This record gives sequence, structure tokens and C-alpha cells, in this order.
Amino acid sequence: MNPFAYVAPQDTAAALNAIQAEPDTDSRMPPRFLAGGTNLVDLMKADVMHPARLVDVNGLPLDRIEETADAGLHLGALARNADTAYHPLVRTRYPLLTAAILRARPRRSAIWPATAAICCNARAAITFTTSACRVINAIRAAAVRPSAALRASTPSSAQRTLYCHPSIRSVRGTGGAGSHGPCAINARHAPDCVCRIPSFARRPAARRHHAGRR
Amino acid sequence: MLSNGRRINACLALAVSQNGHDITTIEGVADGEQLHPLQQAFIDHDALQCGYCTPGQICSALGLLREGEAHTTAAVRELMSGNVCRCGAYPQIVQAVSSVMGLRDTSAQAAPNVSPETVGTVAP
Repeated sequence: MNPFAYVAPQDTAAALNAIQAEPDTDSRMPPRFLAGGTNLVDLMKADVMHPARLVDVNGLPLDRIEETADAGLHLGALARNADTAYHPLVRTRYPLLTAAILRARPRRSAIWPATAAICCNARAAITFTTSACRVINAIRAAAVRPSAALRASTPSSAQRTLYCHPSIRSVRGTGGAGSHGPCAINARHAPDCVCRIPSFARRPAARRHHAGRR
Repeated sequence: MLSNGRRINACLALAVSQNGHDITTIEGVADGEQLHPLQQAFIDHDALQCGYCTPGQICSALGLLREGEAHTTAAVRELMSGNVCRCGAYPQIVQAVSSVMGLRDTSAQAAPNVSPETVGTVAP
């Protein structure tokens, strides 16, 4: 067993402190936030991830789903997929998001290229990170020939194309044009971090290059 | 299982993160010796074979009932699809859950009524 510490702060400041504090245990991985956990817990069980500390953020008041002043939609970072999909605002104004979540949610083993088309805000930097991806599935997916449908839907110009669980919308950077918020995964990262995307979770460039010619 | 009345995957939930939550597993579904209607429906519809997935299926169906989002048998099938049954008892599971929800099985109507006839030709 890999020992790890667990804290469940009740406010954002305490959570940020907890994620930045020095690890209590001897682990080569930094502390991680635990939200839904369906990805991280899975990876910890599979011995892919062993963070020194888990900072459970479920107690933080970050699950709001509401209209913004400019008629946009504020989706709290902790808003549950089901809550998002069934929310009246999302249903009426962003039915594609509802459809995507409902289509994706049950298929735990499904893989999907970056769902940028669904969650992209022109100003938002979208980064699919290690913890936002079904790394296990990506490994398995790499072992089989990608289907024509997957290839067709893979954005060729994407710098980082990862196969993610389609229900995960990992968006950061909600400030003004061009501004990036702090890294949602590790607060100690520089704002423009790439957030450690493991090469094995990335679709090899060579394969992507050849995929279209098969 | 249900955490605060909502469906979660027990295998992907860290136990300590559920501290203080109201947890319902299959053991808490029946009222003493009185089976929950879902449990009885699973028996009536023969909605299990090996039974391995049944606790999860019933808890998931319980959450589905509370969500109130499934209004057709197709929706039941879709919204229950995260629970895998290796015996393939899905038709019976959908029947059992739908019967408790008072939904009529419309799958027979949805099946294509095949009658060969020429409706047109496609130009080459």
C-alpha cells in the first residue's frame, strides 16, 4: 500500500494551502485534488498515481451552475455531470452539452478525443491533463487500431490530443482574453504550464500522421 | 450504491470521502422482510442470472427513480447502461425497472415492421 494523507478543507484558501504544503509522505508525486475521484481513485488503485496527499475539495462551495451577467453560463468546477446535464439553463441553451454528458456518462470505458467542440470557450485554454484522462483506457486504446470514426473526429491541428473520458470537461482560464487562470491540477504550476501530459497517454504524432492515409 | 440518495460507483469512490454521507447499499433497500418493489420486479421479470451485478443494478435503478429523468423504456435502458451485466439480462432488467416506473415497453413498437415493397429507386 502507498500511504497518503487525506485532508478535506472547507474553504478555498485552506484547499490551496493544503495543495501547496510540503508532502507528509515520501512520494514522488505531488498532492492532488480529489473531486469526483472516478479517475484519480481508479489510477491510484492501478498503481499509476500515488499522490502524497489528497485534498478533497468536495466541501468547497464551487458547484454553482448559473447565468452570468453577459448571458453566458457559469459552470462551477464541482458541478456534477448529472446536475449539469439536467440543469434547465444547460438543457435549453446548451443542449449539445446535455446530450454529450448523457451519452458519455454511462459508458465508463468509452474513449473520446478532446471534446473541445463541446466545452470550448474561445477565450479559454483547454488542457486535458493526466488526471482528466482515462490513462488506463488510453493505454488500452493505443493497443488497438483506432476506429475510422475516432480518426475522423480527431482534430489534426490539436497540439495535445488525448483520449479522455468524454464526460470530463477540463477547462481552465476564465479570465479576460488571453488570460489563463491558475493550473486547476497543481496550484504550484506556472499559469502557462502544460501540466505533465504523459507521453503514453498522448496519441503518437507518427500514428496520427499516418492515420489519415490508411 | 447511493450516497446521499445519488448514484455513485462504489468501486471508484474513496470511502473516507463519503464520511458523513447517507449511504444506501442493497442491504438497506428492503423494509425488513418486505422486498422493495424493484427487488420484487427483478424476481418477477427474471432480471438476473448469476446475480453478481444485481445489487448495483437495483441501487442504480433506485437512484434512477429518484432522478425522475427516465420517461421511456429507451431512457431507462440508456440511463442504466453504466451498470454492466455479464449475463446479458438487460432486456429483463429494463422490463423490471420500467414496470416499477409504470412505463409500457415500447420496444415491440419500435421494432421495424419489415414488409418488402419498392418505395423508389436510387439513381446511380
